[in-house]
Amino acid sequence: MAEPMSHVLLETRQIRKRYGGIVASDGIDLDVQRGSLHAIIGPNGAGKTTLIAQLAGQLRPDSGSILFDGQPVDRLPAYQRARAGFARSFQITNVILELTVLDNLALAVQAREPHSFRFWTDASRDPSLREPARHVLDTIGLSARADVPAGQLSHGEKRALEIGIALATEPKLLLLDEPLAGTGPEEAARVVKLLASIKGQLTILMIEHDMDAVFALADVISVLVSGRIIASGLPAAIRANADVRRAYLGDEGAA
Amino acid sequence: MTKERIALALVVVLALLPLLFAAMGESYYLTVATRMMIFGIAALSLDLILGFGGLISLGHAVYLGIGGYAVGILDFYGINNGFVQLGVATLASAGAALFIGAVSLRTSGVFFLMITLAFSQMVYFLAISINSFGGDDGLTLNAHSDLGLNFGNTQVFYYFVLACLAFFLWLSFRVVRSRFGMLLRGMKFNESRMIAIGFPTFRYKLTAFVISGAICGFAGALLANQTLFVSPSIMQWTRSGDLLVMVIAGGMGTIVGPVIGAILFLLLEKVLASFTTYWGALLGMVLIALVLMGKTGLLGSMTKGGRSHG
Repeated sequence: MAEPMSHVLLETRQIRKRYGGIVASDGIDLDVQRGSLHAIIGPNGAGKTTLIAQLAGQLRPDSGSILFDGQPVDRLPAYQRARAGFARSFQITNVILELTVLDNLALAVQAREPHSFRFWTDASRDPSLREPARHVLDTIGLSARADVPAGQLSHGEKRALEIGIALATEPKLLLLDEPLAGTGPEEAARVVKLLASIKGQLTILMIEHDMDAVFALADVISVLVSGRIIASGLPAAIRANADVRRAYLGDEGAA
Repeated sequence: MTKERIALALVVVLALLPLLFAAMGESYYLTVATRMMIFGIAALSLDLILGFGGLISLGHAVYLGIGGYAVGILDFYGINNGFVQLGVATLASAGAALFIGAVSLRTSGVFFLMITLAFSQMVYFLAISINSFGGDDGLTLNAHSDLGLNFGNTQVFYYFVLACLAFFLWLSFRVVRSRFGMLLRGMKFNESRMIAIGFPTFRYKLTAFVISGAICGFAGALLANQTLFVSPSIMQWTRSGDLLVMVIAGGMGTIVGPVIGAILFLLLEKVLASFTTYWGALLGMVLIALVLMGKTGLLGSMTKGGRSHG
């Protein structure tokens, strides 16, 4: 790549992933600029979640390479990628329903520590866990819900907590898998506002179907169709791109 | 009432019980109560991995056996130092748990249950086949573990076991509230999430498994001391099943619940057996009723709210 390393936080080179006859990733090349909010759009089944899972380390590509901060991370398992600075949120809300909102965040703060072989001090009273967790709680606007079990949150609040857990690990790169999935208009507005407030503070790679949100938030948009990036560029350029209109927007119209 | 207060109340009641038995002139009850407390420690150890880790082991009695046989075999070779005996029993169980856990924790659910069962059956049949340590007939001990206390005196031994129970209760409450305990709970409910935020979960599960096995092995050493006898039946798989019942009936993830579960289980066994030879069927009915009453077990229904904090 011609660009200097320091501007690109995440780079994928020719990622391929095949499930039987289905090619989920068909040689994906992606550059995510440091500090940007990079959105990936594409029709259902384009391989978006598969891509995120390969980046976060839950899935291994069949071939290709992922560079993070200039270093290959292909051999790192998911937990080591998290430690290297990846954080992901899930399309299907993946918080610990049985624990309180604050406990969910405190566990994510705890994940930053070198290890958790600490058997003695009461974690629920440790300010070094609780204070950063409360800070994130403020950011995601759930301060009033700190001691509520996460299972009792509304869907929109759970989506915010989902992002909060990722934020609490203090990642360099936030991978968001459809942060607006299943939200109503009001809840969606809340999550968009949250994303706008953290935008610029860290690098974000986001998959999203809600075009209003994507065009409102994204600095760069890549279009994934059938496992291939067919276009990548500024929102205005993507909106005007004829291939995108045909392959993607047309598809959505049919669905 | 918090679980800690229930635990404290339990320990106080148990501390006063010998006075009651003395007044009743029923010293035999003391032996029965000691056995209940020992199984209470074993059930508590299982709760650490079942209630907090979500790991359903059907081989937990193997550590009772390893702990018991550690004492028995040392006694066989004339080593009666209590610190050595209890220390070896605990370490041998921890070592066995490390090995069994390293293999079985790579699986989950019903496969985990089957592998833990298989390991316990292996050790069980090993104990049966080694004739020099009594084989099927078991091994009779020459003396109690020598800690400078007269374990032959039922009252002394009772209070020693009670002190151990109180210690392990306290230890467990601390551990489940620690960072380690929080992580354990996180893994139980949602392991993939814990991996995604950067926890290498396997080593923490294995650690919990080893701590649990070690405590259960200690209970096995106490059991050998009480009866001055160890036999393979101590680690029969049905015994592992009993331990599961004690934990589930008493309340998973409550620490003190399984201790109460163990006490009630052995009490029911005694009481029902005095009425009928078909006591097993009655016990089954009681258990079905307990489980139907609520998934949270006895203690879960006593402590309202069911906050997930240990």
